Amino acid sequence: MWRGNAYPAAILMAGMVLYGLWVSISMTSLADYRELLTDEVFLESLAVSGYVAIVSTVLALIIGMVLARLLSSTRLAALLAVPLFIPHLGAAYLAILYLSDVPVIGPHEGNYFSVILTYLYKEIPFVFFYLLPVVRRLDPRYQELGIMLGLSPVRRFWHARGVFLLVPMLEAAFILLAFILFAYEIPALLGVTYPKLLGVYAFDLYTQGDLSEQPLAFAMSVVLTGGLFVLLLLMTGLTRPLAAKISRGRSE
Amino acid sequence: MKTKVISFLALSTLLVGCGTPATTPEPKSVLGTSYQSIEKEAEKSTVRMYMWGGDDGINAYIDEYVAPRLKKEHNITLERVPIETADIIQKLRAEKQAGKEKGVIDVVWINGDNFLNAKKDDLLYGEITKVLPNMKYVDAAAQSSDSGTKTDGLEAAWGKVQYTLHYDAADVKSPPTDLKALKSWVKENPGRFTYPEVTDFTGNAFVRHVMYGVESNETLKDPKADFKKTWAYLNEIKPYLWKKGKTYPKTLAQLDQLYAKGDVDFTMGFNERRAEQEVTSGTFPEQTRPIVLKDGSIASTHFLSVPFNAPNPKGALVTINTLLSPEAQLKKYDATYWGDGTSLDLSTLNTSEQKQFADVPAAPSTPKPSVFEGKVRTELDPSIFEMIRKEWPSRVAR
Amino acid sequence: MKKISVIVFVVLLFILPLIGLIPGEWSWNPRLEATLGTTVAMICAVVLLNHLFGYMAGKAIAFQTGKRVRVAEFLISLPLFVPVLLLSFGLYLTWIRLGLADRFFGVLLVLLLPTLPYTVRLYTNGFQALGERMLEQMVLIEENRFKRWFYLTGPMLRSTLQSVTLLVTVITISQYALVALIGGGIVRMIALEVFPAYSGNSQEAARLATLWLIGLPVLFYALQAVIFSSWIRIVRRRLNGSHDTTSQ
Repeated sequence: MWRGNAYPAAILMAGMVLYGLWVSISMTSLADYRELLTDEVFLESLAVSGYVAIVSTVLALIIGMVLARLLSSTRLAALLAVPLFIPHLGAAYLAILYLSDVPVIGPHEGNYFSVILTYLYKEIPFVFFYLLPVVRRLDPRYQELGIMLGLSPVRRFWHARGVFLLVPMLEAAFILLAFILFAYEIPALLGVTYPKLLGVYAFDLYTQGDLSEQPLAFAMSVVLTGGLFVLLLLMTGLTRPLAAKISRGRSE
Repeated sequence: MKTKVISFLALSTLLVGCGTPATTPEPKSVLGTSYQSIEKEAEKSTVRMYMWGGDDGINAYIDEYVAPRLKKEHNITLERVPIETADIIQKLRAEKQAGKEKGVIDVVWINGDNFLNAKKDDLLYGEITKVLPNMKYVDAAAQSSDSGTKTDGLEAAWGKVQYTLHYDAADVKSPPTDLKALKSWVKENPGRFTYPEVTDFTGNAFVRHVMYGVESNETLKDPKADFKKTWAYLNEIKPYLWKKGKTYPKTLAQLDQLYAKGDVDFTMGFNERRAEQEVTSGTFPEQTRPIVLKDGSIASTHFLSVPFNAPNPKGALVTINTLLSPEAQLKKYDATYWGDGTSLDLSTLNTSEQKQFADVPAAPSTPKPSVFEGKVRTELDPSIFEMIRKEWPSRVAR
Repeated sequence: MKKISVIVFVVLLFILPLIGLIPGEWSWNPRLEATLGTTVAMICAVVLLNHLFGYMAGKAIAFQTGKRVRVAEFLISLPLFVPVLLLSFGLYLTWIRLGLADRFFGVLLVLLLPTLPYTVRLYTNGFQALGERMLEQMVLIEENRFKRWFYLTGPMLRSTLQSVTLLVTVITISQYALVALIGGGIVRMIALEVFPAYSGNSQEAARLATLWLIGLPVLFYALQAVIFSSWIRIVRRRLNGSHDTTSQ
């Protein structure tokens, strides 16, 4: 059986990314990175962005998974796809339309609740549909097996469901985290002047005035990319062996 | 083996799209030839004009008046592309660096920082004003400097506007007439006034107006001075602003939306006539009225230019010339479409043309020209813009 | 009972906000109409390439072992965490040198960046859920590659195929920055015409813009739903009794 070929896709992606990166990184210098790490504005922006990204990701994952479990067998679930059709700017616009004069969760608040809610609106369906194929194929007999063997609820959950869900959930978490950390459109519309989220701050540095701050914007992106890179390495390294075991294990 | 073949195929998909590399460079600049020959050769060509597309009135002006006129008079097909100038500059910089001799942009709407960067990086075609006959109508003062940078003929003045505040007369009975009164008004009406943050062109301009109001002339001449009084003023009004000054609208468009919704009573901007269109379309409240602060109103010009690698420079020049004609300027001045102030020196026009301009009805939301007497200010040094951007976040916003 | 109420509540929560989008008046915009051709063509091309590359790569990552595959997987995921800001300038420079700037193909390639990583992930998960054994069985049942795809693999991977098509369509339509820079206003897609409305001060214009940006994917979704269900129906009918004894 032909086992596919990952190289074409890999070459395309790597090629484009590396070409783009090369030019941009060559426009930065060590001094930029040093300046960045002592820049109070950057650090506060990093903190807020981390907060928004982590909260949004965790909530989206939990709610998305719960929904996937609850709605996996219904056809109504298809309606949940609707937010996926809405571009991020459109979702931000909706937030302004409805949340405008609402006190705590309204736009332009330092707690960034409106931003988180908008991300949830978009990302819960994403998690839902990402996990749906896996959830649909969960074999209920594992659960029964667990009951029969007298496993505790926690272990039962892990062996019947957790093991299969772990990898897709981690993947979804990574995707969401990486995206939200650096996104521009939603925080540009709903965020506050200070502290800005990273995506907005970097974009401002990139486009403002005499463009002298562009290297700083690049440096910021590079630092973030580096961090996420490490995270991804960890994830890929730890989860693929487990996933392979699961895939092989379906032998009956 | 199979992997190698597939990888090779994948790699070649990257290169398959290769047309011939940059064509032979355009022969020497057309600026040396006469306008008559340029006009003749531009017939039957396509001109691509890149400009901000966020205002339906402006888009309509180009699509419904300019394009048909160009088609009729010169058989030129005008294509409007709604890409923002900042993005265009980035594109041109890349094209210059990569040596792309023939680009895709013919005419670009440009001013301020974008012009400064374009000039610095040599992204423009050349001294286009020398070859355009309609330049004789253009106001020399407006033409000479762009937000403090000398234009050197690289761009042609398209419109000239004055900074004006607009307020809702239904809610504001006695509007403040200068900065000091504004300060008191803001304190008495907390949460009803704000200005865009300084990354926005209009917001940055507001701070410059405050400078004109509170700083001495010597301080204003020295970009490196410490503008203590300005920051003091802004900090004083800060707690009484919208959202207690904790956040500011990111763009003028957002401030306009707040004003339209009634969350604030004031908006501001670089076109004294811009409210007309908005009131007619119902976006702004009906009772919108203008106010020009006694401390001054900065005059700002916006321009048209041609990039260094325009594929159709002749067509571009004809287009710009047409846009500078009195007839086109009049149509632009009329608030049916845009309501943009003219860059022309009205004294150069004949009497009937002058009358046409004077006859354009001014809505109640437009200030009478007499209001501006003695208040017109020129732009400050461009390094002050940069200074404001760097200092305002730490001195005021946080 | 409780389950149904939860479902209804949730679904309503996500759908109701859209009521705000229904415009007061509807006008046909000829400029938007002009962009439809390029947009549709681009979507089809991007979706096709995504399926092609995604299928190959997803299968490999799901079933092959070894360091090479893991490296490939990592490389494919690169665009997920390298921000567009960092890439656009350099990519555009390279594209100019390759002669791809301001061309359909140039934009097509660049649109693979935000789409392919998701596609490959979806395919990988789909293949894993299906399982290697199942696929080997399918090879035994039907030797001809194309027939196998049409009757077996395709339908079995149905939810993956649909998810990929949907996701790629939505992402492609909402790309503005890349299309504006690399396409240079020559490759006119709907996002180019519609996004400027968000930077203006009219909420009405923003509302219409959102409607347009949602409309196209919804149409595509309906189209592909029809295509897929007819596919399944054809397969069922053709297979009725021809491969085994259980009748459908």
